[in-house]
Amino acid sequence: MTCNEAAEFISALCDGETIPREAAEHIGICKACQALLTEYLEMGAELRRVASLAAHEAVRPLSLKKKRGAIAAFWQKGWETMRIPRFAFAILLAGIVALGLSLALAKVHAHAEGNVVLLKVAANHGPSHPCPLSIVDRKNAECGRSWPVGSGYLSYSIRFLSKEDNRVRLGVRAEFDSRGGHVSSADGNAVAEKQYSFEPGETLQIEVAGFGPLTVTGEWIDYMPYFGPLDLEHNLEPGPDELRIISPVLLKAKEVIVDFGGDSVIADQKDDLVWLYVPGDGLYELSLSPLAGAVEGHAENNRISFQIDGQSYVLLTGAPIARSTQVWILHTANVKLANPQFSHGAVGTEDVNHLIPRSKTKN
Amino acid sequence: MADDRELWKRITEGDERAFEDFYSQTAPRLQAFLRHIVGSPEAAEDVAQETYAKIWSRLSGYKPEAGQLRAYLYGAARRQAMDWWRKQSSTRRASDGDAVEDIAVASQIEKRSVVEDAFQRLPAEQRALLWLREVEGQSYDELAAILDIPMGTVRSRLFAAREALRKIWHGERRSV
Repeated sequence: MTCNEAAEFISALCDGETIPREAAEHIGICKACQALLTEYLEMGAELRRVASLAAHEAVRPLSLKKKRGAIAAFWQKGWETMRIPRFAFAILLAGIVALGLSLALAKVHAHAEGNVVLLKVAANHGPSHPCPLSIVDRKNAECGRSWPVGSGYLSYSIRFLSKEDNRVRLGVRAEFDSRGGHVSSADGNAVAEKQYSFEPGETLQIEVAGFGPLTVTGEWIDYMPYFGPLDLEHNLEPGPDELRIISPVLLKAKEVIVDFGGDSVIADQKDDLVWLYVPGDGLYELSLSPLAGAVEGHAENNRISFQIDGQSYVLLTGAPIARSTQVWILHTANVKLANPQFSHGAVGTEDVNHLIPRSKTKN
Repeated sequence: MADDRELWKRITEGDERAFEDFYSQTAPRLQAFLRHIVGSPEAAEDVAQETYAKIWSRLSGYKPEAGQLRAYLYGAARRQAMDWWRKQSSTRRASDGDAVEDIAVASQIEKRSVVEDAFQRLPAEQRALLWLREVEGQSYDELAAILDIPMGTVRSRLFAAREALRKIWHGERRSV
């Protein structure tokens, strides 16, 4: 047994717990462990000494905010002298409470207003996408999406600007690129932001040049909802060909180089790639199959460990990644994705070479 | 408390004197515990009062067969203290949370031991755990009940708390 393995048992010894024989033997002969035991005991003794000094301080007289007084006595007396069966009274009482609650809930719903406006954005009468915006938390005050539509690529980002009574002012950037990929102008300039006043319950039409309207509806809710790809229908265990990257953080030499802010993606087809874009560091493409020029990483539960050019990397995620322990990682440095939405990093599954425009920066 | 059941029977019968006895026996130590969790004597008094008021207003909350009255009291106090912290942080920006705690801690008793200084730098949950174990002598199963954690994790959490305290303590001793 090593000192590290014994350390938790040293703590348990301080609590008067019995410990395994090997741990007891090690602690009996190890000076370092005995010193640790002494330190733990000293700390405990010192805390008790401090407590002894404070334990005799006066406390203020008890002040009970809700004393059981006349009302309790009334209930007790009524219960004891009740002339209808008590279960009938209990049912009657439960009914009154339920009715009262339902009325209260109805009232709350009628006037509900939370700190999150949950927008639903739909294009071309297609399915709507959720877009929650917090009006109190700047980190969650913006949402966006880019996805292929027909032969082109549609993108939008919406951010909360201000609230006036029950209306919110929204800043919206939206663009359609029929060439199949551009989500901002080729020279990297962002699409101009337009502002809209919107009240949840209304329908807002946002005209996107070359595409048509985006339809926005919304409602107030009082929490920031989760819309990640791993919903309750998913088993925590990945499927045979699944590569799940849930809320990843990438570490290089034990330092976090990018936190993708909760972005997540699941590739569920054999040979699908997952890509992670790290601004300033380039593109990491992950695959369960060997890729030309890629390094082999080791996947275990929610982390992938790999080395590139002698540097150790760990990709940490919020859920088990794959069934296989082998994952291939291809790093392409000096890649810059033009979309301003990717300025803090991004993850995706699409064929990055085909769908996402990128320009190699000059060394 | 060997006569928890008898005492509690009197309290549930509405015997205010019995509850006041319970308060006077337990409040000084509970308040000392809370002072180290919330960081100020005034706040500890408030949280203690709210804890007793809540227990009094909901006497069905304690089941003598489920454990010791003292463990129930400390569990209720810990939850009340955590509510107090949440209210404090909700009135300030989340990023100021550590600073708020630091200010509360800094306003503490002027003359403190090095261990106590180090203790105040631990997270509230670790302070509660160590205090309840080292000062109150709560058993592992009582700690599990008070802190709402599985029994199996009490030992590892105590170890983590002791190690955290030791590391801070070492740092402070070096800087003294």
